[in-house]
Amino acid sequence: MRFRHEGTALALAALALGVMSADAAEPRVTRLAATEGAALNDWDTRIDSMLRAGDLQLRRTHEDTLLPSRQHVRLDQAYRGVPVYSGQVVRQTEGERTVSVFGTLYEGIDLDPRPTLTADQAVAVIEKLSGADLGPSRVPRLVVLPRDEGGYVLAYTARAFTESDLVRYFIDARTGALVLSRSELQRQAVSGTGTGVLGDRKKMSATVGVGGVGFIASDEFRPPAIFTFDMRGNLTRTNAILNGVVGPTLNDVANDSDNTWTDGPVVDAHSYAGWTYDYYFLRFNRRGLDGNNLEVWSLVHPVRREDIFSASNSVVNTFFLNAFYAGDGIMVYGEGLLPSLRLTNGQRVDYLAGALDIVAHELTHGVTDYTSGLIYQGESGALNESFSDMMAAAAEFYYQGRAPGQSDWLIGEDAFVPGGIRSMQSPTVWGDPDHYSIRFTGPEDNGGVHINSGIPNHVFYLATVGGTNRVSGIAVTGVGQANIEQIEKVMYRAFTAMMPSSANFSTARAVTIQSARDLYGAGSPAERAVTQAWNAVGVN
Amino acid sequence: MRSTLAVLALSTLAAAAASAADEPRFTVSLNGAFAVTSTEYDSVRTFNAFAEEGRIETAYDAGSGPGFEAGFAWNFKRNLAVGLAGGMVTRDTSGEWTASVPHPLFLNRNRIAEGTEEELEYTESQVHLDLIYTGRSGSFDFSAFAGPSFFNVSADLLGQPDYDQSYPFETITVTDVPALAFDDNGFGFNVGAGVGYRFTDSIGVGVTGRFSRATIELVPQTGADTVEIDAGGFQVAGGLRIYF
Repeated sequence: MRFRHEGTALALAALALGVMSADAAEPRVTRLAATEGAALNDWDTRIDSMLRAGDLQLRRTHEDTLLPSRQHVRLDQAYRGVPVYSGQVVRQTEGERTVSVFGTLYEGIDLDPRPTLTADQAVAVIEKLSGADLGPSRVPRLVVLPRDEGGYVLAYTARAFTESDLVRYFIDARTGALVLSRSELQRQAVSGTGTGVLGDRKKMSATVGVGGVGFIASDEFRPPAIFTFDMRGNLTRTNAILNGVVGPTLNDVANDSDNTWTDGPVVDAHSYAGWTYDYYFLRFNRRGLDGNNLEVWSLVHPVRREDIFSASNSVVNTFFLNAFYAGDGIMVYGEGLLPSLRLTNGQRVDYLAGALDIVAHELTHGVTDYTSGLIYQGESGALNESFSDMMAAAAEFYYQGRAPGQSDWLIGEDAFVPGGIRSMQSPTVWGDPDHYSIRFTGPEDNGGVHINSGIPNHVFYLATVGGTNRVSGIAVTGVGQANIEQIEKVMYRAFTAMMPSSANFSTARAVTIQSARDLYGAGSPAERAVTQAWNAVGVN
Repeated sequence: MRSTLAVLALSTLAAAAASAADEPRFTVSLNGAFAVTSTEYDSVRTFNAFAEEGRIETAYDAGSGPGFEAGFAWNFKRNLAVGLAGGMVTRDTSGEWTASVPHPLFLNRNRIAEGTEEELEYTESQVHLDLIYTGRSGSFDFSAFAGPSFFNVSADLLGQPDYDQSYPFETITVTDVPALAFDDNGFGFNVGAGVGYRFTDSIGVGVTGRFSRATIELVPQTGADTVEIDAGGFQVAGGLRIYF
C-alpha cells in the first residue's frame, strides 16, 4: 500500500543520511556476563569506579520477588553526562556480595556532547518526517548513539506515530539529519473471536495493540497485511483517505479491548477479506489481488446510519447502499439503512460488509484490476462484473457448503433482504437478461455492466448445475454442483490469464471454452458444459 | 496389567518361622522383582490456543518392568505371621497421543496430529502389610498371604504440544510433546503365595507371586482431567532369605 512504500523510502533515506553523518571513532563494544571468580570481581570494581566517575548512572533498583535476599540494580551508561543509547549494566547483589553482572558497554567514545540543535528543532524535524504532531509532552532525548556501521553520533531520539506505525527516530543533534528510524510497534498476531452482522461467530485475526493494550484489526497471520479501518462515520476523513489526501493512522484501525469483537461490520469485513484471500490461495494458488500479497484495506462505517436523512442522494447510493473497490487494495463497505427504513421494493439493507459474497465480489475487482483489466464499459464491463459475481458465489459455496439457507446463487442476499440484488440462476428475477437477445443496449450503467452481467452469470450457473435456458429452451448438462470447482477454475483461468481487456461476450465464450479444454481436455464434461451454456444464452 | 512390589520374602520367612516352637521367629527377605503384567490408562489435557480449546488425548501403556523389594516377617504363632514388605518397580511406558489444535483463522477447524512418545517414566512404590499362613516340608517353606497395600505412583503425563505451522495452517507438525511427572498415593490390597528353600537354619532362598491392586488418581495441572491408574497387577519376586 501507499504508506508502506513511503516507509521503505524513508528507511532507505535514513540509512543514507545516517552514513553521511557518522562520527569517525570506532566503537568498542563489550558485552559482559560475569558470574564468578576474578572476572566478576574485576567488573564489580570497574562498575563502582564508573559510578563514581558518572559513566554509569542509576536507573532503577528493584527487589527480587522470587529470591527475597537478592537485589537488582540497573545502570545506564553515560558519556560526559549524555546517556549512551543501549549501554546498560545490570548488577545482582545479595547483601554486600555481587552475584552477577550482565550488560553492554561502549568504549572509545570521542565526540563533543554539546548539541547544535535545540530539542524543539529536533521535534520539528521528526514532525516533518513522520507527518505527526508530537505534542508538548514528547520531548526528545539527547543520546550518544552507537552506529552499527561504526562510530558514534550525538542524536536526539523520540517516538512518533506515523500513518500506521510507531517509529523511533534518531536525529543528528548537530546537522538535523535523520540518522536512523525504526518501527517499535510490537506486532503480535493473535486470534480473537467476533460476532458478525448476522450474529454468527467467527475468528478474528488481530494484533496486540501498541504497548500491549487492546487489539487491532490487523491480520498478521496471513501473508498480506489485512487492515480494517473503522471510519466512525467520518465521511470527510473517509474521502480524504480514499483520495490520498491523508493516510490512515493507527487510530483509524478498528480496535477492541478484549479481542472478543462485537462490531459486526468490522468483524465481517476483516474476516471475509481474509477468507477471500484464503479462497483464492487454496483454490487457485493465487497470492492476493496482485498475485504478490498486496495489502488489503477495508473501510467500514464511512457514514453513520442516522445521518442518512441529511445525506445527498449520491452519498446514500455510494456510502449507504453500496460497497466498492477503490483501487490499490482498498475496499469500502456501505452502512446500510436504519432497521426502520426500506428500499422502495421493500428490502431492508444491512451492513454490506456482512455479506461474504459482497466482500469477495469487491476483492475480485482488485484481481481483475491486476489481471485482465476488463474495461468497465459495455460487454467487457459486464464481464468484469460477472467475474466478480462468479467468484463471489464460488467463495460462498466454498465456505458455506450447500446447506439450505446458506450458500446460493443469489448475490448480496445477506445484506439486501430478502432476495439480494442479482440471481445467477434466474437473472430476470431482478430484471437482468438471461439471454443475449434481450441484453441491455442503453447507455445507463456504463452500458449495462451490472445488468448484462446476468448473461455470463447464467452461463456460470448453467455450466455448473445444468438446466434449460428460459429464452432459448436449450438444455445444458452441467458438471454438477459437486464439481463446481471445475467451472471455477475454468473461469478463473480464463478471466485472469487469457481474457483481453476489451473482450466482448463472444470473446469470453471462446476464451472460457479454450480454458476448459486446456484444463480438462476436449470433449470433457467441463468443456461440454461451458460450450452448451454459452449456446443456451445465445452467445456464439 | 500392573505389577506390584513383592513382599514375598515376608511370607516365606513367616512360613519358616511358624513351623516349630524353636524355629526362628523373624525372617528378612531381599528380592529382585519383576512386574509381569502391564497397565493402561488415559489422559486428556485441554489448552487454549487461538481463542479456542485444544486438547491432547493420550493412551498410555505401562508395560512390564524390573524392581526390587525387601521384607520383614514375624511369626507370632504357629503357621501365622505378619509381614511388612516394600519395594519399587519401574515400567517401560509409552504414550500414543492425538493432539487437536485449533486453527488460527477459523472456528471449529482443529488440526489433528498423532504420535507416540516412548521412554516415559513410570515408577510404582508399594508397601504391603500381610497376614501370612505358613507351612513347612523338610527344607521347603510354603506360604500364602493377603493384606492391605499402600501405593505411590509417579508417572509422566504428556502436556501441551509444541508445533510448527505455516499459512494456510491446514496442518501442524508437532515438534515436541513435553512430559511432566505427577505422583499420588492410594490404598489397595494384595494377595499371593510363595515357596522357599533353606540351605541352613538361617539362610535360604525363595520366590513369591503376588497380585495387588489400587486405583491411583493423578491430578495434573489445570486443564487436564484426573488420570486414573490401576496400579499393581501380578508380580514375581525372588531372592535371599535370612532367618533369626
